[in-house]
Amino acid sequence: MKIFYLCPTGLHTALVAAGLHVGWLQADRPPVRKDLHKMIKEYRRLDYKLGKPVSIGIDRAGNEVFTVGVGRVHEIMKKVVTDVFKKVYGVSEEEYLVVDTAGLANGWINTGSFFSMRIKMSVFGETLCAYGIRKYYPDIINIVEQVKSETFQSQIDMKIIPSRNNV
Amino acid sequence: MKIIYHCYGGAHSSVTAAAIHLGWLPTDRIPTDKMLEALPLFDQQTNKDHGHIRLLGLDENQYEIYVTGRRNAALVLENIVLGVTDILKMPRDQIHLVNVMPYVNWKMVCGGYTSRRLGMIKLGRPIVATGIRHNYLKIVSLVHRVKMTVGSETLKDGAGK
Repeated sequence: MKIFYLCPTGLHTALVAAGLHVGWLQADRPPVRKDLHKMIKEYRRLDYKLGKPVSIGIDRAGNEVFTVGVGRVHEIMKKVVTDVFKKVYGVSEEEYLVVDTAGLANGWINTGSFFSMRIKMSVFGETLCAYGIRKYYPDIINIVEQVKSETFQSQIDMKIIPSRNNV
Repeated sequence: MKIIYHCYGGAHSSVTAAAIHLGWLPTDRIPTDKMLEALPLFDQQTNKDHGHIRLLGLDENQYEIYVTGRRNAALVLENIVLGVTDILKMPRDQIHLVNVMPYVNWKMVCGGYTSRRLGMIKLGRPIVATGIRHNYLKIVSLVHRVKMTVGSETLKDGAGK
């Protein structure tokens, strides 16, 4: 399965959620500015541009995790990603999952991303973002846990069905 | 081959271009308002439909013709579509994205806003249709260019459909 975490920049809530999902970040240790800076720097090396899905890694269940920066129209782009899979390429719904993490962004993250992305004051911006992320870290963990349980469950179901038929 | 025509709302210019591609509208003359209004999806999409990619039909080469509305995020849409194409390991030359926004004039913008956003269909729809009729031959030339590009790509690859 391919899991996409979406947020306006792809560098903040989506990246933290994807980092948590693949194990770059720990649930019991919220990221500080240095962690965030390291992740963003690493991410930007991967030919970063808005709309381009970037592979973050593979989780324990074998799912490939991506992040996508989609700008302010995140709700519309969630539909676009879903429809490209479903309608254009006819991929089964069990093969992909699109998670919009833009709702997790708070004032701190939005202000921080504005300073780091638009005004290029990355140290100040990332400090604000890291503060915002630490403040809402439990919410991000909840979403990731939910996604993990959903995807893990669907994989178990897929494995059980053929074995039942065989019996 | 899959061809996606995209514009702001996916209700007027992209639908018109897709209809020309599919042969539902004439290429040698300007259609009447009634012909435009009879098109499926013409002036139908609302805000909640933005982002949905809809199959309008198959052209003479069995190419799939889609339309979508993506607000002002043309580049984001193109990057997503091509990115997902790469992830699925599909050939990039089998998908073609066409931005119809350069052919949208102020009448189409005002009429579209009046009809779709304000819900004043009786007032907005004729204004949109007038705008489309004004730029119709430009949209026809765009579709011709798309067909030539797609045809030459297909010939180059020798892949056929």
